[in-house]
Amino acid sequence: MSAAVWAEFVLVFLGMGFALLGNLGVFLMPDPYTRLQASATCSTTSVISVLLAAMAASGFSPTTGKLAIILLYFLVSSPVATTIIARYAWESGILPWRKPKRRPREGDRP
Amino acid sequence: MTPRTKWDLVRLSSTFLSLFAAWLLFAGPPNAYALVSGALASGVLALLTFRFFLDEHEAGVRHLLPNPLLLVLYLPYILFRIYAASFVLAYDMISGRMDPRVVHFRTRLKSDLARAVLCSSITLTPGTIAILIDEDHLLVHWFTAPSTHSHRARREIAESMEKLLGRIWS
Repeated sequence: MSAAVWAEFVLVFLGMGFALLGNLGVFLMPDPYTRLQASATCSTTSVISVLLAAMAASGFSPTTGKLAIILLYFLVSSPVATTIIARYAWESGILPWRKPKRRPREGDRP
Repeated sequence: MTPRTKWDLVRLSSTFLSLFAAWLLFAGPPNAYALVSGALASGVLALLTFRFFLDEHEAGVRHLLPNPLLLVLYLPYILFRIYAASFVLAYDMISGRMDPRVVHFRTRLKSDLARAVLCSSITLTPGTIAILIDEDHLLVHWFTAPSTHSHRARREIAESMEKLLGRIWS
């Protein structure tokens, strides 16, 4: 197999892995901000991977250029949407989840 | 013609030109219908949006026009950062090693456009989400925060991107 086919293969599998991880993160994380971390950022990586794989598949053609423009638009629109959601959550007063402190054990000083 | 009117005209025409260039990129091989309808649509949109597209106080040319070579270099750089950070974030999420905090720091960038790009880059990089940006104040949600100290947060989150962006839109 040629290098381009291998690149597609690796990129599509990376995309699948990160999409799965992002969607799992939405269900497992405790609050809106951490959910955004999981979904927005992992899904961004997966979409970028899939678009790069499509660019590798289409070779040197007008389609590659259009895909590159779609990638650029995605790089602009996705973080803006994420920031808007985070900002709305922040301004409606949702406090971020904090890691719970360690429970005091026997023998700890008061 | 007052300077303000002139500046309005410059903003209007540059908005129109950028919209029309984007239209030409997507329209494919140009024909008369595509050119006329594209020009009409971008004219109406430019009239509606030129006040937001270029802010009135953003009059410095180097605040708006990027250094093209460095801008082209910035894209692979940010893609590399995204990939490197997503592997780290994936490991942190699976191993449950998370300690999210909200940190605040100030950026040294002067141009509005560069600040917006910095905000987007912080959000794109997995592990950090920019919550608020107000002039030069940034509020960032950090997934694995070792500290909430402002200088350390800036150094670890934004400094390398800031250096490059400061040279792109100086």
